[in-house]
Amino acid sequence: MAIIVFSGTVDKLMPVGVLTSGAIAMDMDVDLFFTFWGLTAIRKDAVDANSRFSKDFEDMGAMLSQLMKQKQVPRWSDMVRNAKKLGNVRVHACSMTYDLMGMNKEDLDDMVDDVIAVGEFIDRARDAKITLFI
Amino acid sequence: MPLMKLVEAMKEVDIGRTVEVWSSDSGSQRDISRWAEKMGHEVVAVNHEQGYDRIKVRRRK
Repeated sequence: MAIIVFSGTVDKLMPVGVLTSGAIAMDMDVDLFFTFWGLTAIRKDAVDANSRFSKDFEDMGAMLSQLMKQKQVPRWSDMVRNAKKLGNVRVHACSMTYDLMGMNKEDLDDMVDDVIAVGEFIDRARDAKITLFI
Repeated sequence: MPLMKLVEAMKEVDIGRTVEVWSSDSGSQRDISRWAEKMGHEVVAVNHEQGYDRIKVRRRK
């Protein structure tokens, strides 16, 4: 499974964590390509502290965050880390966004495996049975 | 996620042993049954309790 993670809000990152977990459970390899707002969501200083919510459902953000805490739903980032432990999940940072935002390797969370350009990601994704853009 | 807990637990137990998942996720029974079938394990029992299900799976390989 290959997912292009474009979004940086928690409501859209949650399915990234859940789908990655599901794919690993079903014995699939996963390639995650974090680009644009997605890349900002895997910065060390944002990855676990992120509470941004999509603008169109902003009014429900606080309630959902509360519910997730109450029901002990793990953070999306911890889901990805856990999936990495159990199976083959590769976390790629988009080099174009990385350069555009003037990032360094130290800015990115340890879950990141490498910084790659779109060509390499497409080449990895071309054989994936499931491809998603989130 | 109950399925992920099961995937983890299944690696810990010997072949032939069972793991029982207690899940309040209403999708777990179907999810786990499908997973077990795909992975070659066996769902040996499903019990519906008040507010949660108990799903027992035997490791087959």
